[in-house]
Amino acid sequence: MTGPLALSVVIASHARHLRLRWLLNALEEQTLDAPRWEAIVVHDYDAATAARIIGDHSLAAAGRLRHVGIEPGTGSPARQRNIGWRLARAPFVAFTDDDCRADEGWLAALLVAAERAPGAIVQGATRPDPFEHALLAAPHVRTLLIEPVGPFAQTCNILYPRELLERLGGFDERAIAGEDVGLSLRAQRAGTAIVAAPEAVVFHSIESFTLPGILRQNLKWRHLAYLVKRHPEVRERLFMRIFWDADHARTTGLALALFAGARRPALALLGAPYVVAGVRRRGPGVVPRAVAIAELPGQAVRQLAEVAGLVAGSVRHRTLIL
Amino acid sequence: MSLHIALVHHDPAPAVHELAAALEAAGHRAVVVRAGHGRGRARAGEIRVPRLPERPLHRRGFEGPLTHVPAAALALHRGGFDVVHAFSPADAAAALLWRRLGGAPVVFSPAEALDRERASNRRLRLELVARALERSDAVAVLDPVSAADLRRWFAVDAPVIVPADAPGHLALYESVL
Repeated sequence: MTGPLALSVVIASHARHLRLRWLLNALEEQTLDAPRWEAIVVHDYDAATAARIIGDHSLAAAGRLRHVGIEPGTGSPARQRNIGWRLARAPFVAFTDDDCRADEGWLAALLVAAERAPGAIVQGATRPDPFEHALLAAPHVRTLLIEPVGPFAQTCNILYPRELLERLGGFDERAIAGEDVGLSLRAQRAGTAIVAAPEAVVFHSIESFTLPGILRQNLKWRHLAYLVKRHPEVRERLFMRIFWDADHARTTGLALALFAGARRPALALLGAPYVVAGVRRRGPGVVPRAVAIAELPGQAVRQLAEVAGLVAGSVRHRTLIL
Repeated sequence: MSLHIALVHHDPAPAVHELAAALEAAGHRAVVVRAGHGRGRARAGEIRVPRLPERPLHRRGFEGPLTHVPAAALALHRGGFDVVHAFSPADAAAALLWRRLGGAPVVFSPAEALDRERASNRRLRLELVARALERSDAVAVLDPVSAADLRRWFAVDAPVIVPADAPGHLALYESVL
């Protein structure tokens, strides 16, 4: 597929320099002709790390990778992505994250879909990285599975026409979480379609955490209330218009059971759906069930903390989301 | 000056024994520290440290073996070594633990492939690899393929010193002492 520069890949990177390196290696293997795309990384690494990981990469040597370092502590996904797409030279901007690995046909498939649907946002498929499947055995993991078109337009695998980003002013830099959802909602409100490109695949890392680690990771979700406040239409995608998903609804029931069940025993039954779902979490069979039961306390702490965070966010932003 | 060197690998590849023999032939004392189930008799020039059955850890997705790490660190502490050369991320963890407690410098040479597929395929693997590469006093590799892997996946330029090259390894050890 020869032709002029068509795609700029924008990556915001923070605290994952090795995974960024792996992503750059995956981009180097793209089947889309080299002159048709470029990459831009916006990061907050020190100069030595940036030189070693990014500056020294063969894509940089070939003049196809640029990078911008910002002061540590001043970055955010929204801000860094905005810096990146404003430097883009191509008419299409593809976003992915530094904890993803692009399949070799990713850019070619995104470009085909973008050219077939002028002006549209294109969402590809995101799958847990098969290289890291063993980590799914951990009690607390973070990964993503998205078959497009999903409800949240995550930036792990999405393409925007540059002109659209300019028109919308890019990502909302006041948003600490859900800035990608916010942008897609503003685009849809402006009449933009989102089309699927299921052949455009990225593989998302599967990372395991300790319980304190996953609690820290999940702190940012308390800011989802800001997204819901700014975009009330998100409630159409929530479970019963209040809960982020069915898990959170069950966790809220558990919270009520724990705190009010002693005084009113009937309320203890509100915890039953959580326990039933929790026991089934690892699938059927004696061993999976035993593992799920052993993990139940830790899962409960994690999910109760998530809901508690959302309560705090709801109070702050004066809109209820659990 | 004759060095007392520990070569730590839970399940020593032939390259580790080859290096041990080369160092001995060059007039230095090289001891292989390896893991084993129970406390069986070790060969001459070898220390065997206990290791627990690891199937439960393996089923839970962990890098392995791991349970020998504390015993390996203790063996290093008792051995009075001048330098420790570790050949896997977990063994480097044992060496770095001992170094933190006042032990000797650590050299890391991955004996196993560190390509993309294996860089983070088990729990704790990436953390142990990154720690071994960043905190060891020196990193070297045993063959050009490993050098290419380290460069591509970890942006680390490591010299290639083949196992039989005792002078090359000794120069490396002396550079960290």
